Amino acid sequence: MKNNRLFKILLAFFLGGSQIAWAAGSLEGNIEKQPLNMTAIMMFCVFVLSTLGITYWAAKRTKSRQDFYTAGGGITAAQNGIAISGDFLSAATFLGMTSAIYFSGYDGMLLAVGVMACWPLILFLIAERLRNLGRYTFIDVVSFRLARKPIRIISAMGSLSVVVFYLIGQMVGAGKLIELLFGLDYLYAVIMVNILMICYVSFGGMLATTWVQIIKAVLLILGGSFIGIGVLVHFDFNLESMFRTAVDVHPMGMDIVAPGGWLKDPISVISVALTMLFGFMGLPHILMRFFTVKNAREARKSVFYATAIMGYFYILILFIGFGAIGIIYNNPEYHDAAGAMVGGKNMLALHVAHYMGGDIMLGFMSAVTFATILAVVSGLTLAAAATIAHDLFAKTFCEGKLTSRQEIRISRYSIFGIGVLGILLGIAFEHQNVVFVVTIAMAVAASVNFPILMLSMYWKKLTTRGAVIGGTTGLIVSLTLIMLSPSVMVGAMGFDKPIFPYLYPTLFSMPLAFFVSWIFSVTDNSEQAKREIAAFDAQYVRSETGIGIADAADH
Amino acid sequence: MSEKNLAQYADHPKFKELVGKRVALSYLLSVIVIVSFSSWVLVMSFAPELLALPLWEGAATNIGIVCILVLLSAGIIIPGIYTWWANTRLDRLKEEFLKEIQNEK
Repeated sequence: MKNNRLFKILLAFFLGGSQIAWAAGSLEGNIEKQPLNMTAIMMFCVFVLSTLGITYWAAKRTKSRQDFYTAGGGITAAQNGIAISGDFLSAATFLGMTSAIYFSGYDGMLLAVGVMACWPLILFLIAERLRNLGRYTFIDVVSFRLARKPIRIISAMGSLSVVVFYLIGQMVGAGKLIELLFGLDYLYAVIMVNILMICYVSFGGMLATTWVQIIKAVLLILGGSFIGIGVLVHFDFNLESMFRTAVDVHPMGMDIVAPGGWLKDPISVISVALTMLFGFMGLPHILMRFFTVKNAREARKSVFYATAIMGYFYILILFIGFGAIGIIYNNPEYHDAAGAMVGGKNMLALHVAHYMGGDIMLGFMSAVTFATILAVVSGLTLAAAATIAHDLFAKTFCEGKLTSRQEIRISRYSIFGIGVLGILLGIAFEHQNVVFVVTIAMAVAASVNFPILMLSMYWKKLTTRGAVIGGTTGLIVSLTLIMLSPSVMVGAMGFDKPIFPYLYPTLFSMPLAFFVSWIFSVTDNSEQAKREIAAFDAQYVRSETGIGIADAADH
Repeated sequence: MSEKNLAQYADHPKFKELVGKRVALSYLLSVIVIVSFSSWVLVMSFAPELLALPLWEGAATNIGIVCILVLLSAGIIIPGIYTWWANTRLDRLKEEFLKEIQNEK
């Protein structure tokens, strides 16, 4: 029984970026609406008002397409680095990871280590070339030398699939979290999140979105540091004593600091590692951030700043999670009469915040947690809107004949539409186990976006035909295998046994996408193919040196 | 600079030197990252007792915890190394390359 619970928690975790979905999954059973928390609501209002102010400021400076999608390319490396880290320092990292460590120990850190392993790879393989080749979206890069229409369409489908699934996870998690923290009804929570998000993104574009991320990240780091250092002080900065206390207090004893052995067969192990290392490289809203800086040099520095912040935060999480065992476990203030944690498992980090800094700290961190939801949802929506307005409408359907203003207007309609969709999805999936939608997002990203992007940047012989068929294969195979996997067939549809026994299709769908792209490229002898292959050298030179990239506006 | 003009530089010695160095460092660091992460995952799956070994007799802190701290720190240090090296050495090479092709025009 215990193993099942552990398994379910970890399963949710390692399924990727939208860890809030984990919060949603495990919150189902024991959602305890908190009474209206006035300090938190006040801080949250302060946050909302200031970010709306920023949106107003940003709106006045957002005039062109370039401004709207990439903030004119004038975001500094430090700003971008903080904004990128913000996408990974989510509410679920702060709440979910600390909780996972507190209840299940060592394994809770797996996602953190995975993220820190993938970012250097993003730096070496993607950051510079992407910046040197692209304009607004990663699809611009992919269609650099390949026939625009078919490539844009398949990449857009991959991109939008990832975003929609990710969004479902975020919406449900956000609704439940707000319900938990602020005592607000789920429906109102979901509506409010979407309305705010529509305001930020449609009026302020990438500039507002970036600054919302930055502010939230800074607040989260400050709050987290306060709590983390508080924990260390509690143990006199003696790590051994902190772990010793955890071992002595926790029912799992020495097992809490040791790996839990949840991954036993080699296929799952490899699949998990692959998904973690490469899945993040296909997330459109992350890739889009590389276009907001001036050049490749700034892009490199952004990644460094981002990893420094993320690494620091994950180390804090480690200390908070284990330290909390010694502080919270036998503390009656945070447990009810039956011995269960007040508010459910996800409240752990907030209880520690309360312990360290009282109601103010609790209110502050609750407001910051809400801020993280808004920030990530905004980034996702902007990425989706850019794909719809820029890649689909402007470049494909209207064949490049849209003016800047028309394109921005279509983006705004898209944003509104996505906001409405977000509300509907949130309502539809409120009581579902949304853990599996995150698998879909990560697996699709790794099986469609990542192969197409990598091959188009690095492989001379890739042709449109190969890329389109390969990408489509990746999309269909990954979606199908997920539908047949344990999380969907057993978890959501209630069958006894799944047809596809593994949680991640990545091990199969990703190599297959590469292979199919290869086969159909090398067997492509058309005139168009020859032209595309010949065009590689120019792309190659530009991708490595940045000659000819568009100039940036300053911020 | 038109696309046709750019293609001719793919064989330029300075360009090749530039790319060669970048790729070499990228490969080296990528291998370090992938190998260390993968080994950790493999040990975690197939030989978890190794990670549970305490740092010293009777300690609660074990090798596994140290591994996590090392891997997290590496995630900061390795990009730092690459960024510093690329922004100083590589960009200098790139400037030289750009000057050369300007002169050759």
